[in-house]
Amino acid sequence: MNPQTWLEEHGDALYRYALLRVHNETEAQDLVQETFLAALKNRQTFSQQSATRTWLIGILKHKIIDLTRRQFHESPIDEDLASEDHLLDDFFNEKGHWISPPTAWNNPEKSLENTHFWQILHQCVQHLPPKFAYLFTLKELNDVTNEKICKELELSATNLWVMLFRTRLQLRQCLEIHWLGQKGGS
Amino acid sequence: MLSCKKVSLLVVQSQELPLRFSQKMSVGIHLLICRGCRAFKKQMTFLQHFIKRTDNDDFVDVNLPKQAKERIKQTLLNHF
Ligand SMILES: [Zn+2]
Repeated sequence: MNPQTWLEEHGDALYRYALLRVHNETEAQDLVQETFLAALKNRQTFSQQSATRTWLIGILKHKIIDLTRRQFHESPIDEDLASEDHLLDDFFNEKGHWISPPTAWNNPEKSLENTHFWQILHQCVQHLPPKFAYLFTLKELNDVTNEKICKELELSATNLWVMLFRTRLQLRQCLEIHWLGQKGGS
Repeated sequence: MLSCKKVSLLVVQSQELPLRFSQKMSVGIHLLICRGCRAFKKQMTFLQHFIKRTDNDDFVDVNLPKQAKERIKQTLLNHF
């Protein structure tokens, strides 16, 4: 293991990994740097049984989860979203009917074939209220379990599901408007 | 009869948790008669697949920008 060549050998891979999960280039670059610094400091603990790349990604993943959790707690609660009772009001009426029912997508696989998936997802996730975006990142992109999320983000299970549900509804709508639906085109 | 709100929440939950038999029945019946929820269910399956694909960095064709690389290199050299 030679720290001198780390940056050349693993820099790009770590950057891609981070960029997919933090939605911001500067943050991704900082995380890569912090990862290398932590790796330098702890290189004695590196076991030869794991590949250098795997070891570095492990450190990076830990840092991403840490940062996202902190961002979740630091981001303000959107007034409109503060009440769980009204969290779904822009999607369903008081009887629980769709306000604007989903319509079938025309061949979504094909529409997305030539597009950069991560850019689409980034764009849609960025449209989410901050807390929802951070929750999405933790759960879907870092595979943190629901149990752990509830504990660390101080959410009840019901709370979590309503947030996840709203996130799905909003991402669905975002994809429909921008890429897949008849309304959006292209 | 379950509402669309309830059914679509169950659809989202069913991607992770097995539904109870009675829930499965009620959702199934609702889906038979509700086009909106049917479309929603199909789209949730697609979305899940879409997210999993995003989780794989093979298709990301970006590299660490030169300036950032240089900056990180200097920082690391200072810590050797
Ligand atoms: Zn319905």
